[in-house]
Amino acid sequence: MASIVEVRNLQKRYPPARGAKQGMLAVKDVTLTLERGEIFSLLGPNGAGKTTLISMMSGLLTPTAGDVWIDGHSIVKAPVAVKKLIGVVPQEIALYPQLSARQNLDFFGKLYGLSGTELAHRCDEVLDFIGLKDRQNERIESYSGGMKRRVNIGVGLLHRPQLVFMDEPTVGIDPQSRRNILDTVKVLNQQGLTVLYTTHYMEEAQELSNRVGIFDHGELIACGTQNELMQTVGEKDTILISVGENAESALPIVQNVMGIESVTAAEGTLKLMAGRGRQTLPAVIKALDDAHIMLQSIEVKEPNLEAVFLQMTGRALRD
Amino acid sequence: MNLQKVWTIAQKDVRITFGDRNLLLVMFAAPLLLTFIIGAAFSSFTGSDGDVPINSIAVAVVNEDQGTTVFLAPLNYGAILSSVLIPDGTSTQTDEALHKLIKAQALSRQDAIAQVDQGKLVAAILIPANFSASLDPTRDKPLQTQIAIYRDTGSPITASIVSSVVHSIVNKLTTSSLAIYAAKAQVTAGKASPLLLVNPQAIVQAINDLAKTAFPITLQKPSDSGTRSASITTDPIRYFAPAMAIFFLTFTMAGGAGSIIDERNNWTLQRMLSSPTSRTTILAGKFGGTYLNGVLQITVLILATALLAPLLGSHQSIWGNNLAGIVLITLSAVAAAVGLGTLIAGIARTAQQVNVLSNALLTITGLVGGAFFNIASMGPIFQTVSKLTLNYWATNAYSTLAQTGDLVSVLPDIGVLLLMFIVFFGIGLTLFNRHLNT
Repeated sequence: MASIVEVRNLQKRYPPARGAKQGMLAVKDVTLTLERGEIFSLLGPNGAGKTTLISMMSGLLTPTAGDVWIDGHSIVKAPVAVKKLIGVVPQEIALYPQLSARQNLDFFGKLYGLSGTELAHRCDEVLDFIGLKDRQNERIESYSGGMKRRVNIGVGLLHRPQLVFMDEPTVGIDPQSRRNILDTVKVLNQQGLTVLYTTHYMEEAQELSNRVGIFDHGELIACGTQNELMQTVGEKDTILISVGENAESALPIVQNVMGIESVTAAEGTLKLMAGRGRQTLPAVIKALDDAHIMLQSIEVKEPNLEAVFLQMTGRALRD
Repeated sequence: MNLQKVWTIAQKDVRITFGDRNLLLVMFAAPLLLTFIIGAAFSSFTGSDGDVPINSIAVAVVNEDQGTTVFLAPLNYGAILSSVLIPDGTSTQTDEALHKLIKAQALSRQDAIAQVDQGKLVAAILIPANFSASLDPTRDKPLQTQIAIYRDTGSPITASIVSSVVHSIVNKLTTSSLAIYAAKAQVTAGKASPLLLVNPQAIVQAINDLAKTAFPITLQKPSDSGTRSASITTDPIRYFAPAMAIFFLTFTMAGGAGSIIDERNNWTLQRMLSSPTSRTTILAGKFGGTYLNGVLQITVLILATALLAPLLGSHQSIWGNNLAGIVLITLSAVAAAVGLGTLIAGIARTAQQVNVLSNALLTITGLVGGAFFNIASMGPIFQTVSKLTLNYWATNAYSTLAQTGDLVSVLPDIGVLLLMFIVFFGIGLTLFNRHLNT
């Protein structure tokens, strides 16, 4: 696949606050590429700098250093050309609540150069796609959160962009609406749209993405397919068993169970590493039961992006 | 700059404004209500028909007439004219009516002009030095001379009353003088003996002939005071309709200019900026929409007050009949208000600051500028300070145009409003640009 996005040494330092010598470095020397037709997730907690990165890539913020090329056009030197190619779905509901869905689509469509029957036709298509055609003439302020999010996405698709930036599009909505949005993203990708999707939900990144970038404190810490990333933490499952004050005495018992590669004990909890945790667990439980050691709780953690994040940053995704 | 997109953005803002019921109440219902409430309240001081009875028009008589000597007797027509206007305790009933209408006093030229400039007098009647000499019956024919009237243009109605009165008195003086010349001519021509036969018909014909060729005493075209006192309109609603319209316009414009901060908070500004639309186009569209809202607001208020005023006892045309003048004043007043709104929005950092600044500043400028009381009734210091506000210039322009119907007389006001727009908007836009740095 050819690259549609090239980010090179992108940096953003905000102006210093009063009394400060230097401003905050929100994005530090980020380099990455997006392949045409893929879904790339940028996974990181709130405040990591994901929105700042997307804002520079969409021309809202001027980079302090570096550049972004989208389909060969520089965002610094040719922002208008870039903006014709991209769609933006911001984290905020960037709509006029006093206007209807139709009026919002009509307005933003005109800013993208659409007009007349082409605009009317495209509005109809988008309203169909987001499932709001029967409520198109009602004011946005009367919509539920999920409906607003759908219109928010619809505006970003009006002008048939090649690439769309979606900044945490499922924040603050119900599970059903979230499911709807995730399915929408997949459908769009199947139609050939390249998607840069930012989120702090590991499940979304895992479900949607071809590739994932781990992002924290303004840095792209790791980037690759999910398998590539999980190999960095190994493919072992983690079994956590709370045994209370018997943890030290339980150590030698579980060490001998087949399939257990390592065991540690801390604060009343046994942490076991196993190649196939679910399959090994019954033998572990039997061994502890035979030793009359009471089990307080059991948890099996399979390798996932959250583990990758934890491994690489030392903190959980939702901190 | 893409004009199509400018129009799209402006249109969007107008649609949002006119779809907001609360905003419509502030834009239209509030100024209309206050206009009629305050206007009705002030009407109780001016009589049942809302007119101010015209009397005691203060004028000065400056008699610089050197006089003349006729048959060894001194004659001063200027003193005669002055004695007609200035009561001397021997007034007839007719004189009393005149003295009730015009309150004249003798002053020096310097004092008279100064008091007209300060708005203390409506006019100064300047009788020239050669007034009597021009009417000297010992001459062969009367000489040309002119009486000058120096008037306060802020009181055009009363100044024209003064002109009319002086004109009629001068006519009588002139006719009497011409009669003397006519009789003299008859005698000279041997057609009449001064002691014996006098042909009255011939004398009348001679007077008419003399009057046709050269009326010896004319009124010079009134010269206007360089300063102008605030006009005192005779109908309170005529004053408060524009005053309230302008007052509420300033709030609408500040809100419109400040709405860009709201758009930044709501991310609709960022959405516009992420489209292939330049900052210049976005700004032009936002300010264009605000301007359009202002013009529509004033237009609706003009139409509404013009239609409703007669129902509330106002018998005068509130806005006058000079449509071109009304349009020009409206366009310039709205521009000045947009400029002021932009300045406020440029100074503020947040939407809340826009609200606080607007409420404080615009209430003060409204009070000082005459939104709630006629500036003409205040002292000279207050009147001077009021000229710092666009409220004063816009209200004065509308009021003066309604009274005089003369577009030229309000061109200075329009000029000041446009200057205010340039200054306010220029400074405001420079500060404002930082709001586009999202």
